Amino acid sequence: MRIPFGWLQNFVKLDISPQEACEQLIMLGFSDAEVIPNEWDCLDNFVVGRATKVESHPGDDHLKIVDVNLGYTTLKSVCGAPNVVTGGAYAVALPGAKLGSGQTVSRAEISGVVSECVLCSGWEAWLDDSRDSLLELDKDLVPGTRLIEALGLDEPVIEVEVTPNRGDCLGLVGIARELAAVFGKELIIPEPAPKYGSKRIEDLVDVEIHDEDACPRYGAMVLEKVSVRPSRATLRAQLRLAGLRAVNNVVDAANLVMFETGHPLHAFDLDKIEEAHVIVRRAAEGEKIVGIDGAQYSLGPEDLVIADPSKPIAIAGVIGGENSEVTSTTRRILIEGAFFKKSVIWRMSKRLAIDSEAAYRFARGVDIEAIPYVLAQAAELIQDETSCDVCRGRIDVYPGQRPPRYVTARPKRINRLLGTAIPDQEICDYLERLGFGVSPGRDLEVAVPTRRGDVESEVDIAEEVARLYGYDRIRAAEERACSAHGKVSSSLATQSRLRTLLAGMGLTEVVTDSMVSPEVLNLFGMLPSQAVDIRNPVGVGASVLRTGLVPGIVEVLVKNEHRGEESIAVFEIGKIYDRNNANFCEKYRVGLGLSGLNEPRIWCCNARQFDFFDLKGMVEALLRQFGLEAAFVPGGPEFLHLGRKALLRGIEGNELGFVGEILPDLCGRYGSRRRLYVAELEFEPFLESISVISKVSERPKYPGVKRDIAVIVSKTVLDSDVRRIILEEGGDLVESLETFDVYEGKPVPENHKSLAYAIVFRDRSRTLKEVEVDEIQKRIEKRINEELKGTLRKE
Amino acid sequence: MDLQSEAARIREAAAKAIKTCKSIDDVDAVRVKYIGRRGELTLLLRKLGEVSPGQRKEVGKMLNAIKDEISSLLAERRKEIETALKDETLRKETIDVTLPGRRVRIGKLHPTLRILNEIIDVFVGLGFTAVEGPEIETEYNNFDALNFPPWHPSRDDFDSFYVGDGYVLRTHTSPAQVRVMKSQEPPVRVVVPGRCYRRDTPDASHLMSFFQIEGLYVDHDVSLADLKGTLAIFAREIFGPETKIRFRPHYFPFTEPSAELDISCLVCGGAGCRLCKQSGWLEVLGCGMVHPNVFKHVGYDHKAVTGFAFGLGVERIAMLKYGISDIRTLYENDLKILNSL
Repeated sequence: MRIPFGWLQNFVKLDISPQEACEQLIMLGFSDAEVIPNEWDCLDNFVVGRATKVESHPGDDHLKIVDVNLGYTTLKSVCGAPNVVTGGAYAVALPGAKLGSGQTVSRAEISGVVSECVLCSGWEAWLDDSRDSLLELDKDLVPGTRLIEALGLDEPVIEVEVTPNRGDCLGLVGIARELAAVFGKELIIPEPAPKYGSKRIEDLVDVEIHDEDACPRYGAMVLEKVSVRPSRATLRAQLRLAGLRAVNNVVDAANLVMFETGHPLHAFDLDKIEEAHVIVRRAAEGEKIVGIDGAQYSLGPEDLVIADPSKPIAIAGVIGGENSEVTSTTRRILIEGAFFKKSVIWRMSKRLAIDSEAAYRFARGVDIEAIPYVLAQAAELIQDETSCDVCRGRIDVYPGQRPPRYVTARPKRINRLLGTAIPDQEICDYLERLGFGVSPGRDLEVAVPTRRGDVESEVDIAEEVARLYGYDRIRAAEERACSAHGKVSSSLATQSRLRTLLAGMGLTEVVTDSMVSPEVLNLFGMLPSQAVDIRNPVGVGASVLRTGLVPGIVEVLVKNEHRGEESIAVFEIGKIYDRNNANFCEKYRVGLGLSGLNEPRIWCCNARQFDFFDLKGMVEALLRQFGLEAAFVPGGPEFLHLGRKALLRGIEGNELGFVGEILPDLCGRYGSRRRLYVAELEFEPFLESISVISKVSERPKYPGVKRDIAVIVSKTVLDSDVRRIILEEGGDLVESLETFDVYEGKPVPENHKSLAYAIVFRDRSRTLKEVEVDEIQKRIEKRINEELKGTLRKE
Repeated sequence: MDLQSEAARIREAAAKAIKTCKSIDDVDAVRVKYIGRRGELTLLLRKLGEVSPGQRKEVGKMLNAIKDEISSLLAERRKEIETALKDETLRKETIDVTLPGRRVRIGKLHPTLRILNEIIDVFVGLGFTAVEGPEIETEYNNFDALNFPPWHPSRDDFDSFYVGDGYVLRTHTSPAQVRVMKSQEPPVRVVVPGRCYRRDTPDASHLMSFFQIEGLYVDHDVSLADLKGTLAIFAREIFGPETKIRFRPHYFPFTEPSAELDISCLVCGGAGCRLCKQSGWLEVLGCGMVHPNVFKHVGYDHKAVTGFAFGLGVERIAMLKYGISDIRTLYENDLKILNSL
């Protein structure tokens, strides 16, 4: 909302600067109030000039040579406009001036005559779109006066954000009321007094409302003998200050009244309304109307129209129809001042994508009781501008009249809510200044003005009181904030712990999109029927909620590879989603990704490529830190390398996640030239384990027996197969077991490998004898022999 | 030549020879030459018998003194050489200490989540319990229970993502207020962090998905002054002890009175600069007193309790703290940037 500061003072006399007014407006709830930078530097070289002589051009019938008196000198101008006359005052662009059309003015010869300045149209003078005729200025203006001054443009303009609940402040009077209230000043509201003619409106038009819920009140006035022309220059300048577009003197006057009162008005050409009969009704399915913007709109039963007996003539509160538009030939007009339901207007404006000034205001609520006033105001202004006749009386169909709203407000309660001690009298005073009626007592009966649809209950009254009292005067009570103890949920605590550990392992945390493209999920074979679709996505790029973290991690790995990152190690703790009919499920997962060198290339280390076991090692470390036991079993999702993937299984056989290398083909599709390693783990097991506390184990009292054994087995035998046998045979006596060597090549036979294990056997209750260990070792050997066709390698 | 002058000559010669010693061997040679078994001074001492008995004692004393002196000079020199040799061995092991150390790789936490956790920590310290809520929310929790009128713009398909009949991707963390209040009786003091979604066109300050943290405190006689106090502490903890706050009236459907919190500009401290658009203030969060209609929806007695709520965009705070001007920077997941923050 733009607030021309001088114009504002028509409604409240302020003795503060525009900057101070901004401060005050911000503290009243109008965010970002600021004085906008001077927009009128472009008019630096424009002045008022009087045409003292107008002659036709000898070489061109369409052109005229004009002597332009600028006070201090007279310049010649060659001009093609139809409306230049001797004695007329015009906007003159001097050499050096840049015109709204883009050209720069200079002395120029036009068909053999030197032109020293340019007489301007509204367009050339940066005012509006009117190009066909010269901007006519008030003849009383002193030639040479700067155009900015002559048009009254030289005033600061404040721009503020008005929150959607304050439709009443979408007019200058509303803003003035707020400032008047806060400073205790008088609000000046002009009394409109159009001069009525003898004709009575009842004899000329009638109005019926078919949907009283959507349109509880419809008022109208009729003006006759209107002559529709472009508005006076100063009126057009005012519209420009208001940020509105000039159309013609009728529409401009209506818009000016809207800008001041906040109430939109619409002018119809009465002679284009069939039978002069206005009907407010819902549109029929498929009914069409061409708006004054020239676009055709297809309507439906949810839309509200203003119609005559045969056709819609306007989309109610949103845009007028071309078929009833006020044009230069219009003689009789009907001005509509109506109240439409906020939600109806908002839906239409959104659905039809029409962002009109009227729709904006109706959607935020206007004052139903102000209709007679705004109509009279508009009639008076149009009469001033067009010298028309105003018909006596007013159409006012008001079936939706409701009793005024009263709210009970308890000063004590308000003070408790605000943490203040504002005296009752002061509370009453604040409310009265804002135009609320207050009947005092222990509880206040507050009459809410109809313009304040947002005030419904005591808390709303409290806000009004707080605004005028000043939010900055409310104490910051810190004592209560420190009076309790808080904690973090176990889910958040587990996430924190995981994040700290993963970062400590050298992984950087990333956050990837949870809304992803189905195509990407498909690439990974991760688009099950239970995936959660977004019904109204923005493009297909993000139309389904992710079902796994890997696609996002892969994208991060590849993007960073393409950015030239040599060594990439990342993790994400994020949610995945699915649905079972109407039951939605979302749960956290932990994703890890590695690619490139295992450490930065640096003088002292031999960097190598990350491999499967780097990632597996990290996963194992996480599991260890959380005291989780899991087995890695060959296998895993299809998007992983068939020989380099493992599933994690918990003790109960439940799947805890997977680790593996992305299929080379898939890497190729992403344009990666590396091997990419990813892991995705369930979050739940970590969450459950966080509360488990392991007890301290006693220092062993008896010596252990250390054995290194190496076995030669076929290449297809797994490390885990051997370990299983060792653990089964060793039972509780196995204190630790590490695979310390894997070897292929001579002297190991072809297609075989040697696996070497360091085992510590210990009995915690007695000294273990070497012979006992020999026994165990023999049993191990036997089973390896029988079950794995392997042999123990002798030193 | 008498014994004394001969001894004096030996002393001079030995001292000179000791000075020129370069190695332990040299030292040993000098020792042998002068005070060894057949050393010059040793031989001289043997001649002591030839001295007249009257002088013998005195001469003997002098010769022994010279012998002691040479011994100690030798010992001293030996020590010097030994030290030099040790140093030499060490010197050979010299390394370039200016070379970089072996890199210990430590990852970084994502800036948004790091700030989120800092904020959680502050509020936990102020007695708030941190819990989570689902991202896929019912329209009822996201809008109706929060007093959004049925026609409110943000319910629209243009503004919110819908995933099923009556289900949206939550547009704010506020529905968690409803969940918490429905599940427990007052007093309630929680913060709820999490991801939210809006159908915005991504630009320098908007994303379709972002993080928020919600705060809620409901009890007897909670006032706007308490809200202001809590947020004043929050602002000081997160932005520094000098931070000033400003409360401005604003509008949210689920709070009344409503306010926005500004903090004094982090760059200029309030004097006015580009970051704060010369205003001296930076907008940080929205807040207010829980609307009685919200209490009605969750079944609280709105006559008995009052409460405050606030919600803040985590990215905005992260951007202010890290000097990031484009919100999208945070989610490009560029390791160069993430590892530098």
